[in-house]
Amino acid sequence: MPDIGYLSLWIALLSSIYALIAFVVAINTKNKTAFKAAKGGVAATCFSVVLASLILIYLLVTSDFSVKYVYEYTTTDLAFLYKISAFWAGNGGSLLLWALVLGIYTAMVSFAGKIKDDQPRVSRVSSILLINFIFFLGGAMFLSNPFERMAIIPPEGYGLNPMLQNIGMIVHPVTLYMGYVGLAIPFAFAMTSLMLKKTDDSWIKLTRNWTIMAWLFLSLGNLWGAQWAYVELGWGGFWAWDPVENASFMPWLVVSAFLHSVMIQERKGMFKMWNIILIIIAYWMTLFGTFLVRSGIISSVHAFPNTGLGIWFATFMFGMLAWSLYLLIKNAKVLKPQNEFETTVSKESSFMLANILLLAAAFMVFWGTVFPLTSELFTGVKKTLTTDFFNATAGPIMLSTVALMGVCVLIPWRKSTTASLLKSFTIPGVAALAALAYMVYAGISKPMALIGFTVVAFVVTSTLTEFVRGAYARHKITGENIITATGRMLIRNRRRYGGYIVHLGIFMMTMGVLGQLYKTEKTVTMNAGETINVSGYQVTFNGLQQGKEGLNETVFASLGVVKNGQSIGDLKPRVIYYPNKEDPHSEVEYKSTPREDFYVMLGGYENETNASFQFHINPFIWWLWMGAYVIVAGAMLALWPGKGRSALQPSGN
Amino acid sequence: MKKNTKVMIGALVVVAAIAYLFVSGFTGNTSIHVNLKDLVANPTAYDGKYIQTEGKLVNGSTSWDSKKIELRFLVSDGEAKLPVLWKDIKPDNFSGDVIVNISGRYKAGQEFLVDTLLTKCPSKYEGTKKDFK
Repeated sequence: MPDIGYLSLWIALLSSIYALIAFVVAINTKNKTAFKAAKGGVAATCFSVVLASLILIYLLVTSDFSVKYVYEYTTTDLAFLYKISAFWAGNGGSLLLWALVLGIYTAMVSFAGKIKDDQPRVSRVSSILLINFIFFLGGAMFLSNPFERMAIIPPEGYGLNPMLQNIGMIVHPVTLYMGYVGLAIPFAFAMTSLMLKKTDDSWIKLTRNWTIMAWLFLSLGNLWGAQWAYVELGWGGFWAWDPVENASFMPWLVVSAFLHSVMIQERKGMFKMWNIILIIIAYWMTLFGTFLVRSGIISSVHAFPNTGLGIWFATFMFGMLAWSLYLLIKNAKVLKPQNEFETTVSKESSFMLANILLLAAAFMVFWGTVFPLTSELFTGVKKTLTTDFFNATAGPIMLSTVALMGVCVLIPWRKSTTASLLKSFTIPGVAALAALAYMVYAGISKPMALIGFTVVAFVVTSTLTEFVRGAYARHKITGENIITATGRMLIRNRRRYGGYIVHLGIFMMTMGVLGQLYKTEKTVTMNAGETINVSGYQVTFNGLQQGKEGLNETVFASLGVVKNGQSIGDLKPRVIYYPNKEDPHSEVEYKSTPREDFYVMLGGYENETNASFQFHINPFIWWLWMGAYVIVAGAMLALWPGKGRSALQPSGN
Repeated sequence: MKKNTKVMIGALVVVAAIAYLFVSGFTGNTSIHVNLKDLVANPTAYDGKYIQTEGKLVNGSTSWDSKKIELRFLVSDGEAKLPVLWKDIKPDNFSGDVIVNISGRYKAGQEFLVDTLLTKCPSKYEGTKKDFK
């Protein structure tokens, strides 16, 4: 069976090369037969990479330890779902996952959709995607083969890292890859558009859903990574500005900018070159991310140990960058803008500002990530930038972006007077001042908190007034009751209100982030029977007990936690002992409310009546997770197929 | 003034503000990577500097004071040995052959009080654990 798996990889590789060659022939000779043959190659590629993946899953699930990958990442007693998710636990499997997603996407582009018979387009787009496929699959097959055999078949596997035995392992890598790989498609269409010297924005229209979907998956990937860090790593935080976290955040920022500036290209024919540059950057960053994890060039919690893939990916990465820039410069003429800025303060200038801010944030993060390399290159001394750098630079920029989001919605597409603009600021302005007054009254004094929450109050109010204004206008015109009017308004303008809902989600997440300004932490050793005060919570340690989790021994603490006379539960932070690992693995316990999270980790113990604990009180974390789900809901609304999604209606004012 | 020009000037102002933010972000936020060997050989050269270094945990050198919440241990590159103090609970995989990555403001002549402690397993992708103060 493993041999069939490896054979399938070979078939996939050869089919993809065959398809690529056939497409190139079709491009040069315009031959229809070559085109059909190429598409056949794509189908064979997709089929064989899917087959290889299914075989790997089969090997993992049946614990075939003759295969090194299965030995390295599973044991027979591993839960079923984790046996499957072990697919992407290692370097080779994760590369195969990338190739799998890419293979399926390439087949979708070649066979489905409106353009499947558009030979010039499909040939070029598919060729670009196939080149990507060949590189990723080739990397897996020759430098990190997931089907490699063991010399001797061991009786039991080594096992999956306990940190990976979390639901995050099942969803985080897959959604992230679907996001990363999804960006290859608008990139391929953009390059094709340049090659065909098209002056229109058809490439944007054709890939709009792919881009939103990729953005949505990147959002989910980032969200689930953060949640996983929070519940699994035990340090009470959710984001550490680790290089690989940054690698999935930067494309998200760039694509967020892209999703907005394409609206300007659509309506006003501006920002054409800028949009191509953005998609090149976004795509390049997906390659950069994969390069970072596998090259060993930067130390990170996520990195695979030295895999020999550094040079392979560096070559591909810089090669694609050089080629796309060459195409851009060569065809710059077709990207002339059709309009100018209508007024200084206009939708297009505020979108441009949004782009500047988002790209600036991405730049800060990028610089901070590669600083160990650049500092060594230019000064000979290797330095790192601490998390404070990122918080001090990207933080204010992102808060400014949030503020801009609340201002932007109030700026109409058409020309308007300064007076009417300021009038629309009134209600949000009042809300902001009220929030500020309340905070001062409540004794909040940290400047960042005062500014931050005031901004949140402003932007939430301004966005909600858009909903209210729109629903009320519809209700007046159609006579529908306000609820029906609101519902119909949302459904008939899905792009617009989907986007606004995404914005509301971001505001909620901002609250979660700002809450960190007031987090508290306490590390303490307690004796059984003792009660201590942790930020208003009365915590009683009732001793340690032994337990079992699956086949693993555990030691858990019993903590009674009371706040304001009410018990919030009997928390059991614990350590789990795994047979193959020398050290136990801690599992945190936490109770979450919209106000704050009570979070505790068992740090170590002398005997069953004496143990050390680390407590974290994290205000507003609940809003961080909820906000992310609201973002997902908004994006799904925007993506919902059917009528009512096309035009961007001018606002009522 | 043309509309385009006004917008461009506005954009330049914003970019200048961002550039200022960027440059000021470096102050006090860089940590220098130092070889353990260098650090132990030239402690005064790094006195007062915020540094990051790495080495193997010396087996048996760990001492944990649960009352004071103080973890003391030695980090070594095979020859040089550095005494380290971490005022927090012991991280998860803190034994055997583990590689420890530490950062903090170094003071010559004292044990190194660190505010970041990262553990890495040398052999396979065992992953790493990050601990922060």
